[in-house]
Order: sequence, then C-alpha cells, then structure tokens
Amino acid sequence: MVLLMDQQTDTETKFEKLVLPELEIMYRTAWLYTRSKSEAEDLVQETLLKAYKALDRFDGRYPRAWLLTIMRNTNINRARKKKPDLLDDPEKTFERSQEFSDTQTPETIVVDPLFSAEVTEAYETLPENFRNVIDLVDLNSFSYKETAAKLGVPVGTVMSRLHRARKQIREVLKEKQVEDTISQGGDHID
Amino acid sequence: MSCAQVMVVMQAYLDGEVDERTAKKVAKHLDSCADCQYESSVYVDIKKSLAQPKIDPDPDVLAALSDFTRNLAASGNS
Ligand SMILES: [Zn+2]
Repeated sequence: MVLLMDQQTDTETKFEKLVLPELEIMYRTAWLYTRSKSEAEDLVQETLLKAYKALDRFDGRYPRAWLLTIMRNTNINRARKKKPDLLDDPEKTFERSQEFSDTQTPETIVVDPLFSAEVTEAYETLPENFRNVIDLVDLNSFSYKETAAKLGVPVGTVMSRLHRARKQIREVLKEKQVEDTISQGGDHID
Repeated sequence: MSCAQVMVVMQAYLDGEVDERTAKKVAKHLDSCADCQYESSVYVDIKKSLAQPKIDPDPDVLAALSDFTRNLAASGNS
C-alpha cells in the first residue's frame, strides 16, 4: 500500500515536472492553431489529458516535442469533429481526409509548431533593440530603409542588428538540435 | 560565389534586399549547393516563425492550466 502510494506520487511529480515548464509554449501554440483564447485553453487541456494517459509510454526525452505532437494530433481530431456534416458525403469526406493528411492545419500554421515554439522562445531572450528590428521587418514587412527611418538609425545598423538577431536564434536551434528532432519526427504518438 | 560569400548576403537575399545581380548569383549557388540550400531553408522558416502573430498569455489562464495539470496529476487515474 505504501509502495503504491509512492508510485502514485512519482507519477504525479513526473507529470508536473514535464508539463509545467511547457504550459506557456503549449498555450501559445494552441492559440496559433485556434486563434481563439478559449479554444486554445480547451486544446491545451485536451492535450494534457491525452498526455497524462500516455505518460507511461513516454521515454522522458524532449517533453516539448512530445506534448506538441500530441497537440497536433488532438487538433486534427478536433477539426474533424467540427465538420460532422461532411462525413455524410463520401466525396467530401475524401477531400477532408486529403486536407487533414497534411500534418498542419492550413492557413493558421505555416511552420512546424515545435520549430516555431523554439524560435519564439529564442526571440524572447533577445535584447529589445534586436526584437524591434525583427518586429518591423519580419512581422510588419518593412524594408530595411523603412525600418531605419522608423527607428532613426542607419540602414547598416538595421542590417547588423537583424542579421545578428536571426543568427543568434539559428545558434539556439542548432544547440537544441531542433531540426534533427523534427526530421526524425515524433509522429507516432496519438 | 563561395559558400562564405553566400552566407554573408543570405539574410539580405531572403529579405529581398540585394540587387538583382547578387540575387541571381545567390540563386545560382543555392541551386548547386545543398549546404547553403539547407541554411537558407532554415532561415526561411525562422522568418516565417517570426512573422506569425504572437499572443501574450494571460497569467490567469496560465495559472488555471497549472492547476489543471496538478489536479490531473493528483487524480491518479493514469
Ligand atoms: Zn554553398
């Protein structure tokens, strides 16, 4: 009995340890999928339920990849459930399944969510004057010249900040071996 | 163009900020160099990631999700 209790506590601690540091990333990613705060919260909760059930099958390596893969599958299932009318028409069902055979939801997600989550996290650690340049060029599609004018700095400064900022992000990805993880895939989790 | 030269202008190239002649040279190099092509694809994905709108998660929502996690862990019906 005591042993059982200990095991229980172990599982409890293990799950919390794995999940709590990833909640923010999970929520951000869920929001990218759903573009709705309440749906994002639902999606995270549903993902957590599935993750908890699958906990004993998880090897403990790279929890972020594990959780975001579960989220991706959960989101695909949610999107399917939302369109039950289409199931009646075999042809449309086929189109649907084609659509969802893609690993990502069309339109809202343009990059692998894990990759994107790591980029966002690296971005958050950059100094503000680096982030400002990225926001103008990458988010608002400003040219270097427009960015320079807006910030009141020379174009050369815009270039060096921007390029260094992205390079720094690139280095973080390399250190974390994010691309390797993605290319190996973690797709076999339901 | 060498790989090193391509890397120097890579980001400006992807931002559409190099002149036509340079752009053509870079494109030509990327056609025949898998390493640089790979680097360029990573930078394209970084740019795409940075172009996505971001949400600042509400602390209340994060707190609620933390509670949800703890309750789930404590429920023990694994
Ligand atoms: Zn090269």
